Amino acid sequence: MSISSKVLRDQRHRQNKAKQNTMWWNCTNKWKKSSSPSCALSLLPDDILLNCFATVSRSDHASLSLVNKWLRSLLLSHELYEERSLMGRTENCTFLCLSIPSDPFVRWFAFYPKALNNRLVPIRPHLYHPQEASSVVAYGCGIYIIGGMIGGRPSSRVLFLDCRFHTWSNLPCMGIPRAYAAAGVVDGKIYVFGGCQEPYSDKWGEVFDPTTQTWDVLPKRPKEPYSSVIHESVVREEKTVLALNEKGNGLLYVPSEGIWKKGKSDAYSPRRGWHVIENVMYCCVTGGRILWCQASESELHEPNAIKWREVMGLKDLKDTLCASKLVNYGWGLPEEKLEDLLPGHKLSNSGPNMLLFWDVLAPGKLEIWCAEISLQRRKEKGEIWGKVEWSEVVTSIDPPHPLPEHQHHCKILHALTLNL
Amino acid sequence: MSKKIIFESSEGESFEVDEAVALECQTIKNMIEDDCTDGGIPLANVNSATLTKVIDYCKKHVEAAAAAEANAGDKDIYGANKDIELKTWDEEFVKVDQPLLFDLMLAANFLIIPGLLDLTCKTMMRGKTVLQIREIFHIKKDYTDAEEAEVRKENAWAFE
Repeated sequence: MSISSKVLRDQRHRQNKAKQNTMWWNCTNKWKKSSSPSCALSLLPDDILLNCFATVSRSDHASLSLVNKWLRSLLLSHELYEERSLMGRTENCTFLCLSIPSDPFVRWFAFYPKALNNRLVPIRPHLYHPQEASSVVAYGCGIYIIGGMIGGRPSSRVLFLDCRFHTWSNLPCMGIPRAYAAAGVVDGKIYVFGGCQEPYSDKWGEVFDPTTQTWDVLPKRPKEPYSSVIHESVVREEKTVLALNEKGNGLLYVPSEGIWKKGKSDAYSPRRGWHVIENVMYCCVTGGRILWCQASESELHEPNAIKWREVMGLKDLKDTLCASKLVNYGWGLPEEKLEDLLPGHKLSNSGPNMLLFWDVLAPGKLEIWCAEISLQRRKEKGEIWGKVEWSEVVTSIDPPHPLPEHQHHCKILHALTLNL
Repeated sequence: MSKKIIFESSEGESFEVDEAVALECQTIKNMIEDDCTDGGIPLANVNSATLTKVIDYCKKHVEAAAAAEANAGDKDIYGANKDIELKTWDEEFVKVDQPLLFDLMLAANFLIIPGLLDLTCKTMMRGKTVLQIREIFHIKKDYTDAEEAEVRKENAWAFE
């Protein structure tokens, strides 16, 4: 047995012991009692029962739900999810938000890489989901959808999608309405700023505490002109929220110190879809390319521009990515023109691996593709190489006939990964 | 000569094992540390058939750990093979009927053998269809046709 697995085993021993100590007296055996007495599973105490079902992949829960009502409620229970995280049995699940032509609702889908033949699982839509311009973050067991445009006006509403049970709830509204705001999670709190009409509003920045479900105001930003329309925002080294506005100017908020800092600028607007994977920031550019930079580089030192480098080894994907038009940029510009200027592929991740989404207009249908790409750092040359682990169609959509071809494309609004 | 520990099954049968093997069980490890294992350890809720299997499991894993340690120098070459061998052994080990699997789970839980608990729990649901699960665990379907249709609809994606 290797040292690391030994350490792991010892940890498990301790954890199990601790669990045992807290479990034996407060274990109510609720599930054991509620099963039918003839059922063989009623022989097992709750902790073993939950242990057994925690090992089942989430993608198999649906078919297991058909066994009987008792098992269905067990699979939908909070206890099972607690057990999964306690046992380290959580799985990466990606959630995609799509705007589909001729569909009045914005749709979310769950995507379990490598399970269920890589298909997208539809989630019942929220009827008041903004069509665009929301800021989204994944935290804990769900996704927060913050602000956005509803009926042509910015909204202060906040929606929550519980990704375990695929259910929606409404959270307390922000102090002011926002569209195209920056958002990021640092130390369990959700920081949101910009995206508002009044550039010097007292509530220019706000923070939401998911435990107390309350909003608080952030310290005031320095009185410098800064456009509030945020194009990109990411969390850097789990410490700082970095935003880039429409003018290409960077702004950082450091929650631990409660201060604002000027960030580097990145005025070349076609670098879009910023996404941080293991402290490296990636973005998409036209020509089907993917660039990267060190996330720490965004702070203001000379020179005053972020130095991007290309991810190597992905030549084979270039042509297909080039033709993709899967990303929504909104803000009222005629889409046809914009689509040629901005990248049409979307970045996300599943653990340390990159996920890449793009579309292919096939005869009579629109296909959405996904590739999982493992990333390798070659330190000596300062390069990052990507290797396509798999690539596959994840869904195909029949285009509505009366629309001209360029409107057949559906758009990915968001792609976020949670560990559930 | 290593120290021996004596287990007593629910049928009163005695099983003598090396201390190293007994130490695989966290519960027994605690007892050994507290020095209260003289005169044998009665395991009133573990029968002989189950105890035999549990001891087999612990023995194998102690041997495997010792072998891995001995080969630690050239771990890159042999470490991986050993892991595969142990995994195959584990898989064969849990090919038992459902009542024995349950007994193993309960014993692993009681004696605190995380590896065995993990292995048996993983095995219980693996690769079984809905009908097989109902049959093996004597679960009655309690959905009406309408309710079943509703659950199927909710999860339509999984049944394509």
